[in-house]
Amino acid sequence: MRRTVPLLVGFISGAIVVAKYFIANKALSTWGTNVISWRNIVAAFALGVGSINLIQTHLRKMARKERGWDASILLLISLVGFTVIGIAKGTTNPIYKWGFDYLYQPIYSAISSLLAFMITSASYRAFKVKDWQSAVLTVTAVIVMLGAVGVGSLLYKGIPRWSQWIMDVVNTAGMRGITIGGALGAVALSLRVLLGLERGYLGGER
Amino acid sequence: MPWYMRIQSISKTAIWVALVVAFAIPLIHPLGMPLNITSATTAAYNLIDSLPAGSIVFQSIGFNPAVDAECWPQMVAISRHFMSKNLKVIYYPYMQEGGMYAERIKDSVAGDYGYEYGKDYVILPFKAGGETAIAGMKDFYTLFNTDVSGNSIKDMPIFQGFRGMQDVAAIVPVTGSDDPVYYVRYIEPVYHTPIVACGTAPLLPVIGPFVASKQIKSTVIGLSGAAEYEILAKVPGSATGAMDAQSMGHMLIVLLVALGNIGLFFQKRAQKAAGVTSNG
Repeated sequence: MRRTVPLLVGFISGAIVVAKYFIANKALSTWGTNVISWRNIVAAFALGVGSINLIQTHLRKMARKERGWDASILLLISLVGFTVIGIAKGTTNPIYKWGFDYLYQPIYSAISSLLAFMITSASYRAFKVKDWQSAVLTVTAVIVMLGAVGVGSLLYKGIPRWSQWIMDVVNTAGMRGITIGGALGAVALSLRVLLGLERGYLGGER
Repeated sequence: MPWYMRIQSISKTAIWVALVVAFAIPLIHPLGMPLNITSATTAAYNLIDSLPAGSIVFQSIGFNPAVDAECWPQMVAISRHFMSKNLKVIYYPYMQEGGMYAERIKDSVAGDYGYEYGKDYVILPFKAGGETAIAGMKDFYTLFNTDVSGNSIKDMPIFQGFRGMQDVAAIVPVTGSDDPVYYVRYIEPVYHTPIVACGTAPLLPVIGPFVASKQIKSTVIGLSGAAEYEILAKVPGSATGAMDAQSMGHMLIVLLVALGNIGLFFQKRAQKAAGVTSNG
């Protein structure tokens, strides 16, 4: 029963949404729209469940005084503080906006900007011409990098055009293949889920 | 250690210091490097510029502070263009943080054009679900019945006569995510709404096939896209100045890659001369 009901719910919901796209029927369309709305409601609940899980994990970490437990205090204060202000006063409240503008945004941006340093040192080590494949990769990377900024056309006028060609032709051809392959895989996986052959989402076989 | 080995083993610290210097030089002394206006950004500008005054545009905000250095200047330049053309704007935060950026537009841009909230623009609330939320937009008023502050949207002048996504003149996502693809999947095939995708540089490979198939009409990509848009729309902003720093950063990377490869080339030559077999 614990497995049959979720499998049945999964099959019926999925079948309705798929049928909605292929059969022009008003009732089916309404049901499909309702299923999509339910999915949004479930996703909203998932945010709540995720928050509870986060609180439990960090409370446990603090209780056991594991490494970084003091950072967990900050995390919980931020999580609970922002949630309380957001629910009580709304996200347009000046205190909430202040927290976003002067705490969250600068910290998040600063940490993400470190990526520029990692990419620079990684490029220096990774782009080494050892054979013809790595030569193609390195030359392509250099052209695209220079083509993305004005200095490329200063060095050679053709660079922006070459960069554009790489992105429009070579990249698009590759991405088309990946997109079509991914879509076929998604169709196959969806069918397996609908038919109950793929049960990973139920928490594995037990 | 021979010179060709030394230039292959520059320390991470030295590289990082060089990068800081490369970024700092244009901040202290702007270099005024040239900027190529790409056909993609020009097409995006022309499409928005051709919309009649009063048309409703839908701006989806799919970025967070990790990528706002690229996306925020795009959003400001495009919003200023919308407002200078008297277009009505619906801001939709595809990501949770999106609403906060829309609030910034409300606080720092809308006033410059005398834009009135609820009449000329509105900020919708974030909806959990990502792709499914966009799929649900076909039934607009089921998904959205209030704005971000909880006010009923049906009473707002901007929504008078607005039936749903079929009345949107253009969808303009500004994003570090892949939401433009979802608009292509669920909205464009039904209503044929033109999509102009704006976002970070890594977005371009993802949406490339949809640009080629004309399902996405045009793009504004990266900081350079933002700078180009600022120039086209004649709205000076932060992106144009920041392009010098980005140019310096890219030049440094290319220089380092060149140094590493020159070193490798001479190392192989020295090994060959000494009769040592390299394994690559």
